[in-house]
Amino acid sequence: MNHQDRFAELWTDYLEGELDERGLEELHELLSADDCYVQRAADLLQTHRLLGLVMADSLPQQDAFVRQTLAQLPENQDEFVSQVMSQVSVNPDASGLPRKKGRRERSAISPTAWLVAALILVAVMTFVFRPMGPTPVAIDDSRPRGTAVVDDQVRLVSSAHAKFFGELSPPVGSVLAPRREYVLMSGLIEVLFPTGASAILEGPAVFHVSSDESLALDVGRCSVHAPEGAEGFHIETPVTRVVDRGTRFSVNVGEMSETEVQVIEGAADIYDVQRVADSHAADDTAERLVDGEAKRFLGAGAFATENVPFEASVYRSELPDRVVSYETILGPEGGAEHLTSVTVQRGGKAIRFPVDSLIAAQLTWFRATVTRPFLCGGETLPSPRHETLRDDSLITGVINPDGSVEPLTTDPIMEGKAGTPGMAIRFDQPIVNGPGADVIIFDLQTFGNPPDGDAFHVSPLKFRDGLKSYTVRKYDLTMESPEAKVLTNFHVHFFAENASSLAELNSLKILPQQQSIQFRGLAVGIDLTDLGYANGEIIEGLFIQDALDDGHYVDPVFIAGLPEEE
Amino acid sequence: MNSLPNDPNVTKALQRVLRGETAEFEVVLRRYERALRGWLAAHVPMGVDADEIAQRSFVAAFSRLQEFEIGTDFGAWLFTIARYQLMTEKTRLRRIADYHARYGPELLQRELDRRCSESPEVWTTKLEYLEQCLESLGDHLRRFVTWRYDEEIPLQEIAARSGRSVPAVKKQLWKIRGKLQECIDARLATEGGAS
Repeated sequence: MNHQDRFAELWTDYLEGELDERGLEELHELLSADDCYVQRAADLLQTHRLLGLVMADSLPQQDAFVRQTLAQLPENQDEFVSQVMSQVSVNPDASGLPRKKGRRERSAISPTAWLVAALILVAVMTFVFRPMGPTPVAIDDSRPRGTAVVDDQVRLVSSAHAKFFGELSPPVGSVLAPRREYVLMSGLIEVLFPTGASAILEGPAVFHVSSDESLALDVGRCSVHAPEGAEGFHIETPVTRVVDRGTRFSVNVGEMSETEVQVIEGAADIYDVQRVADSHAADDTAERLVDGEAKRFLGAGAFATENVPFEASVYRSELPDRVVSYETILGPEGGAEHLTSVTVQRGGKAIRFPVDSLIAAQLTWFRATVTRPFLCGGETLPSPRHETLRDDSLITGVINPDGSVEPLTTDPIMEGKAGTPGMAIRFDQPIVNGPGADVIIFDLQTFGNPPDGDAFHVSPLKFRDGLKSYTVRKYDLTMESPEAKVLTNFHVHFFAENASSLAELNSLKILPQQQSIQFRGLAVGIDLTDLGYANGEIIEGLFIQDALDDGHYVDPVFIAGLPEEE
Repeated sequence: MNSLPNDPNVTKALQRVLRGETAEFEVVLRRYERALRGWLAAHVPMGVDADEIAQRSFVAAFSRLQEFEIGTDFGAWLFTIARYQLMTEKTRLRRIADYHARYGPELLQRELDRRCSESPEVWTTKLEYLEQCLESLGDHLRRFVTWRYDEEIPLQEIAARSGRSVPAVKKQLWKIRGKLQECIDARLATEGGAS
């Protein structure tokens, strides 16, 4: 048999998936020997793939593709639209466009048209192929801050660790029902009003939306920002009505309904609600506070005031830095699987990081003292197995690491049988300590586990004066966060013996077992400042230990560093 | 500033999407799905689902629509995103240590990578030519294509149905692919379909 015939045989077997190891080696040799084979192989592979598309493609299948893709578009379209609308100046012609039309039928495009397009494309590509790939993107996180407001409803626009009594936190972007009482047990939320006013509420707080330009606060603290155009926005408390006449103030309502008002910027008029109710000439009773002034208003039978120290620090201008949300590609069974981007608020600015812009982490040390399942992912695992921690899948990782009740105060030992229980990671490139979170960790969690996430310690690989371990006890995205996605099914790999080293993690006999319960992807951001690192300081890796505070262990499925902001 | 003309229906649909009528993205999807799926089908490595990358590309385009400048060429922008999605997938595969050893002759991957830099538009033309070439294929040959690619019947069953041996069926498929390849090349050459 000559080389041509042998190539034909081998290549057909390759396309049919029937080429064995020896055949593949032989094919490699043929391709290496003659570039013509490479060209021929590429041509035939492409024809083979196009045949697959052409023959299997039909209108119903094209329709199915469109439907499946539409189903994968980000669920929270309100948030998407508000983000877009806050950044895009609408084309003046757009307002004159007709309302939604019927669907346009797919039309064939002539080769000539494609030729013209191809010529244009050469020029376009020069422009379009400028760097626009996986670079972090700053997001206007829908807070108005003096910009025009396009929505006509009161919405929850952001939340951090928010817990509501008797219900889950409404998703970010959702409309808050008018006059419905909300009980924020803990955490923070930000509410945006149609006029552009916004209020950050801190739990515990009981409140309801009383109108498009007012919020009723029965108890708790809120910080109000009413930009130009939103004057007149007011907070109603059991004893006062606090009307904005400037831009920033905070209101704190105690359990006995006493109301403390601190004016940070501009002015606010405070009315006795009882007199407002009794009189149409409400202005007569107003007391105006200007920036730098603070007062407490008591309403136990008689409206009274007392001076209190001005404390600018009680005003909260934004929610804390945190992991805000993340996007994924769905797995075959419909749950979230591959991470595509994560949005993190750093230094007060929301930034979306495409997964490829993140700095991957490599597992460099692993030691457990008790036999547990240490890996999760598909039924089969890559080699080496610990690579599962590096990929962008939220269902693959090195889980259930050992740990310590007390966090480390000295360098972890990473060799031999006396090695420190836990796991060490090294980043592909050093992480620079910037504002807010510098490292993100995703964790598998189910309803039988702690809803705030499994506690774990993060420690420096090399201690020095000023450095310390940091313990995460509450994740940014918890089981109660609407942003924590339900994951697709996966396998947990049980070990017959204890994996006391990285080598054993990669070599011991394992038994995969399909998970039958639903897991979610929790996430938390680690600020290196919390470990004592200075701003701008560089670190190469971290040591992670479960906090051994309960019978549950942390399950890291994705760890990455955030790139330095340009 | 890029101000090249665009498909007016796509432009209108994109404007509506940006104004909140997100369902209008379907117009964009229907306009580009075949071209993008075709291009990806011809360039993804073996064992990778081209449609999955295509869907990922559309989702990314939707999510990043605020970055797109209305009035410029959406198709070029979409294909750029798809190119990055493909690169991402290849990077992911490279991280799976034994992928290439099992599935991909590296020289072939390099050649496919090189072809990625060609204009994506030609692949829509190639798809159209392939359909025409298939029609010109005799019924006795076309049935092999139908069995193999449409009905996805195992080679053994094709052999039984056609009364041939499995090696003979493989040889037939090799010939058919070659014939179709030649037909496409000929049409590209004579009708100026290549860019």
